[in-house]
Amino acid sequence: MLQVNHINTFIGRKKIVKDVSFRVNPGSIVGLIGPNGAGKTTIMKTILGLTKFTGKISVENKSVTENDHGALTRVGALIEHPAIYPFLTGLENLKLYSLDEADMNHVVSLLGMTSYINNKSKDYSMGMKQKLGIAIALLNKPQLVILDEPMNGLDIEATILIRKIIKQYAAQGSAFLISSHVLGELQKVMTNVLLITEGKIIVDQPIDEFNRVSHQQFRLLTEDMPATEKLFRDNRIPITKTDNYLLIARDQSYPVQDILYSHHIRLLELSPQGLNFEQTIVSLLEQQRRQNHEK
Amino acid sequence: MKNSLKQEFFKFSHQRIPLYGVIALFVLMLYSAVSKSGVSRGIVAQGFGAGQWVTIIMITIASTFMAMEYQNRTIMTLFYKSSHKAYIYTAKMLVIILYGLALMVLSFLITVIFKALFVGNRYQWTTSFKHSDLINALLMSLTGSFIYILFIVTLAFFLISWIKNNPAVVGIGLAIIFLGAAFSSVIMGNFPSLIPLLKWNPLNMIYVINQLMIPGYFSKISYLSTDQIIIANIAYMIIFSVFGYLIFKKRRV
Repeated sequence: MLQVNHINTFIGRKKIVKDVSFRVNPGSIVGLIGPNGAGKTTIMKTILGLTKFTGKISVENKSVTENDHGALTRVGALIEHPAIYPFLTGLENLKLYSLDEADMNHVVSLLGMTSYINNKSKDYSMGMKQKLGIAIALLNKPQLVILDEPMNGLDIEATILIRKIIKQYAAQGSAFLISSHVLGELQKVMTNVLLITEGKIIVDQPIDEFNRVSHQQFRLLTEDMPATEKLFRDNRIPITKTDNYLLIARDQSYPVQDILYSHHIRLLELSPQGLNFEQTIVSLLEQQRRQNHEK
Repeated sequence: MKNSLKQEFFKFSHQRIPLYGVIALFVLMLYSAVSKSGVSRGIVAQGFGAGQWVTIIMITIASTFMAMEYQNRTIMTLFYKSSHKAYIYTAKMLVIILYGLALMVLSFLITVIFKALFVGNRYQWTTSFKHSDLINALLMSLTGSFIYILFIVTLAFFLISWIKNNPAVVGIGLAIIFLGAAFSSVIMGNFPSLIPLLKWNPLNMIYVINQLMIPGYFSKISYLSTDQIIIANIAYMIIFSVFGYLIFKKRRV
């Protein structure tokens, strides 16, 4: 479906996206996660041929370039803000891009927009505009849908509805690339995690694998915590400091015991610590930041 | 390309601004008809100032039509949904030029009606006017105006792609229309030795509106022959279109 190979994107002289590669398969819902300024929107814009880039992007084996968007005929997107003409009604906005009237009416009814679709869109609330933006992205049975913060401005009912529609389209074979700061929402739909920071992808995994491997950390307590912390930092062992404990990755638990033993620091507790999705993401980003800093 | 044209025509026809343009043209031509006592042959030959009024309307509408894509943030959707950016730029320009042509036809019809209302049978369309007849002078004036519309529309698209600020583009356009000709004459008057070069300056191009109607008189002001001023206008149109498109294409959205 979507294949991104070694892309680099520049804004001015600054490299925003650094050697990024990933795939999005039919039917998958890929969550693009990262802090502000990590390059999420830039990656999405690059896929849509809206920025200058090096590397290769292809949709259904057809190349996307900055000046040739022929491969994007069945790609829908909502980037940053809904792209709406305020002087047109909701339906007229959809008609601009629709190739199939039946499909357009289906999207309108699916999103529950029938009652106001013939009103001028300048009179829409923020949530209505957001829904219209999503409707535009879902037109013409897209093979790939790119959504940047799709839940912005949506109330709880609309959020649940959009989640359901995304799953429904994915079940029919559409692929999704979604970025959101509302990790809880994203976690409920995504099949794959793409974690990005400072323009680089640091995690690209199916969500089940990510949950199985990354969610487990170990909680560590010793009789001399300052010395332990120093020791780990000297040995470049990634740690996260909490109020009373140090958190270490599961695969670091055996070397840690050896190091403590060889330095005669008594271990008081080493126990598995379950992290929720949000904590895991934060922890991974912190580790990455530390590694970058040490470099 | 066909799809881009359909889209742009749909957007343009669903806005109020084309209607406002028509109303403004009617009101301004009416102003020209009633502001002086007695309608002279010159006023009729100039289509009650249609050339100047349409040009002002066109710079405003052309600039607004392109600027709305940036204001509504629809430019991104437009870009990725269209297989080539050139289609968008060309389609928008064609729609605006066709609208300009429609305004010229409309201004001809309004002129015919106003002449019947305000002049009656005092003089006929076949009455001589500056070595021609009145109807021919009117048609030449409107043709000259249309050539200048091509210049002004392509300039508006070039400027809006470059500075993305609609009021600024309209301001520059109005300055060119109202002050350009006088400024050009002043420069050429002050530097007579540079006239062979300065006569090609873009501010001088506005004389095409009147030069087609009264070639003998206006070629002495513009220092360009009628053929030269037509070719120069078209050359500027091509230059503005090419550079405007290149900026539009490269602009980060």
